[in-house]
Amino acid sequence: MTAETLSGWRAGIARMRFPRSSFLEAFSIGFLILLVALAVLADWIPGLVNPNFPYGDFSAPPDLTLNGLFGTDALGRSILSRVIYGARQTLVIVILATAISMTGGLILGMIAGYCRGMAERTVDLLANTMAVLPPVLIILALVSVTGTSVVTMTLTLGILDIGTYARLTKGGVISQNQRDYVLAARALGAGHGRILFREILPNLVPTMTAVVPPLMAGLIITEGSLSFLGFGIPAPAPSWGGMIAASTDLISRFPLLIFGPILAIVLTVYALNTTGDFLARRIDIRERQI
Amino acid sequence: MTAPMRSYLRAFAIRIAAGIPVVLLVTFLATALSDLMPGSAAQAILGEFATPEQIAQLNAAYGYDLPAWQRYLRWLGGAVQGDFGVTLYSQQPVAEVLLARAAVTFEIALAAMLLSLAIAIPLALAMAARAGSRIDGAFRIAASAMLAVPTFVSVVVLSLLFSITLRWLPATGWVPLFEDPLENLRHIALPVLCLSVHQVAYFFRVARNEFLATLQQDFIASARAKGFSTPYILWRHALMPSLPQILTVMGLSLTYLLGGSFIVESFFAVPGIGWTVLAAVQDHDLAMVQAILCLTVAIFVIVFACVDLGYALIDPRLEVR
Amino acid sequence: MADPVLLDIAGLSLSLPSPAGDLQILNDITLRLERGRTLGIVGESGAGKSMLIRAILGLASRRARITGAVRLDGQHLGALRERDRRRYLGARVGVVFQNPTAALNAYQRVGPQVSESARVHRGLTKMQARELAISLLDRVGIPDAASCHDRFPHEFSGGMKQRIMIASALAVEPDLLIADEATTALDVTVQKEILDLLQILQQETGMAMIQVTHNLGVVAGRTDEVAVMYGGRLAETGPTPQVFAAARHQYTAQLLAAVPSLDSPPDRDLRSIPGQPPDRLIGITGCPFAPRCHAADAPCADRMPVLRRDPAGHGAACHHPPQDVPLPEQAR
Repeated sequence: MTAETLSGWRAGIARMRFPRSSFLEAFSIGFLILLVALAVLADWIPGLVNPNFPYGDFSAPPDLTLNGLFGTDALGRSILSRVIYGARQTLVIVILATAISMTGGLILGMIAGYCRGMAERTVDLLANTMAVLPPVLIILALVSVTGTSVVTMTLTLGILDIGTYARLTKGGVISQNQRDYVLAARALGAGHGRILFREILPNLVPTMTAVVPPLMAGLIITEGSLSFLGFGIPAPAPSWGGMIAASTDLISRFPLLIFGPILAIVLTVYALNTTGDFLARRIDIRERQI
Repeated sequence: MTAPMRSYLRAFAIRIAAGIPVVLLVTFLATALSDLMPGSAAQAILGEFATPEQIAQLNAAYGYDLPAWQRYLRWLGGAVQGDFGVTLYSQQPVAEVLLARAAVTFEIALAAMLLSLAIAIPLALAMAARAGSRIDGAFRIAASAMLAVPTFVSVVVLSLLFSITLRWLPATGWVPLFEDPLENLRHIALPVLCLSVHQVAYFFRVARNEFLATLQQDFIASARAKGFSTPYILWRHALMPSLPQILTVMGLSLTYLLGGSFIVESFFAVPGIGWTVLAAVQDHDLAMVQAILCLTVAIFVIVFACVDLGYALIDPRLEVR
Repeated sequence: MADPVLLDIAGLSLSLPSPAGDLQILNDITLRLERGRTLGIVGESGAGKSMLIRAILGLASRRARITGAVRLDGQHLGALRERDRRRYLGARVGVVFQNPTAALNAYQRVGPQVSESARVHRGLTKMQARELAISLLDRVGIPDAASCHDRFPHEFSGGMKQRIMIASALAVEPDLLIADEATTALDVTVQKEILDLLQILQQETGMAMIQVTHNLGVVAGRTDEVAVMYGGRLAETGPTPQVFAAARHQYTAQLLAAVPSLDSPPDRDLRSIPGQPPDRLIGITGCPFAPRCHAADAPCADRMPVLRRDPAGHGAACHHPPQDVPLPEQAR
């Protein structure tokens, strides 16, 4: 009841209450924090070798030293180091792409949801088109003319999710627009800009935060697929998909060397999906309290 | 032809027509792609050692020196007659090559979808009936773990297991279905399994939650009060009302299956759409890329029209319009 | 068939575990229903009426702890294996639920739903099932029953859907029909039609009936016995005319004053009972109604009143029976 009558950013933040988390959810959030910390602090981790220089024997099996934890690749580089630096590259791409798609999606979604009519139909058409085409196919089509480049991939990944964010924003704006606090603000003579940015947008925050992690997981999979196929992050820069592809060539002789990057990507995607479920559950709890 | 049959056909045609703008938009953007190439498109495709005669020849064949809209009209004129141009190097008709490849991809995608549904739906029914139990919890955790496995990981792990370690299945290669059905089955087994890892988990998750919601409804309570057994209630009363949601998810999973086919086909050297598009991208074979985009969008328009009509077939409260 | 008692509920209690402790949902319910007679179970929402029905039908949650015995036709239901109990009950008891729109399967045609339990429990052929469904639909007053057989539930109005539900409950020729708030969701005029229909059907078939309702007007004049529930306990029970004429529980008395009957004039003064039904954590020692009762004193909060029945079967669990309290004009 109180949340319904509150408005503005304070109410949006007041809705960010956290439910009790299960063990797997706590593990997932902890893993993501660890991953981001490793990626940011990679250069300062004591003893971690450069991911692009040979460190030991070629294709050495995993041992219990820091750099040899996941073994070395065919060029003698530390796989652990490459996994950590690969995380940095992947996270930068995914975060930038998310920023692009969220900004674009929020703008298009607010226009569509607030103005309705023709604007809504146009945004729906774009969103549906972008939603059905496999992202890998679209990026491959672009790569066929531009060649592989991290910038092209980041931009395209960012554009591809605009439709999803726009659809969610549109739905949120339409449902919030009919609630009492918006009617109250309108009755008090608030303008469109004020209603959108001060009243509606803050209340979309919980929904939007819940969809970001699973969409990020999707971006990581798409980026990994492209790198695996050789059209993503160009070698020799470390990337999880590229590392899996490289160790696949030697898999019958050195099967153990593949588990480092596989562990990294599977755990990251799992942690993001689980965090998304956790955040979605949080919204459900709040909606029930109203 | 009966009256309902006619109205279904009419509704189907309306939905297809509504999808035409999407097809036009995507194919036009595909035509405009070559303008993104650095310098002259023909030069970029042929490389720096191309002679002026070769460039002129390429421009004459594909119109890369024309503005995008002229090139598009030319492409569209051919496309409506089934002519999608010729491939860049082998000079075969694109449509002919693509149809043969598409059949392979569809065999794999269809098999993966059927296998996933056959496993996931009965399991989801059984778990929804004992929701909250330990075994239900175990399957839910397993499903969210499987959802975190990208196709490029499952191909590696499953081929390591079944092909390299156990030597049960061939690692690469392809035998057409009509040449030797048994060998064909052995060759599609790994690709299908790899695509199914994600699909089984996805279908299970959606179907379980949907069944669970259906089981809370009053008509299930009245069926229980009539003394019917749980399997009977699940099968006769809970399945049907949950189908629309499952149908939606089947349509959406096509995106995943097509996307996954790029990985699976390149990894197992299966000559399908995914394999073709990768080769076309490397060769800058834009006619092929455009035809594949066109085919993909057209498939989605048709599939979503079918899904939409499927709702009306399942739910007697909906009328076909 | 010597024993006239059809349903015998003896000391039935039910508790559910919850994070805050065990919840006592039903407490020591003892009731009897003879063949061909009608019992009304009355109470506010949350009084435990629906749980009582679920417990009788064996549909309570698996986590529920149940003590006491329910006998139908002399058969101790708790002693049967789940599968056998389901079949035993399914062939002898029909149930009509509150909301016919939700209680009918929207995806199946009406006729097969009506005959479904006879098909499952009696193994009718398709043709027999069709004949049965049409005759039942006709009997509950669906016009042109034969053509309605193959229509879907959404093509009928709420009252018609409830008639269809009743037809489906009659398919096994039950000894007992349970109407769980069967008319609550319907228009007032339709309510009366459905109640009249149930009465006629009961006379024709000789089945016993339980009317569960929060509306005393539904019970008045249409039931032989009435049981008033409060806080998971029986507050008062007895022959309907006696309970209505001389309520022995403060709760019943206040309920009679509060609830208008179907026949009451619209301008009648409607009194409501102040306060909320009690929560169900185990450990309440006194009368559950004490916090809302104007006659309550200190012993009421400490000591649980015991229900004692007179030879006519009329009894109430109240320390301060309201015989000396003048009652307002009663619904009859």
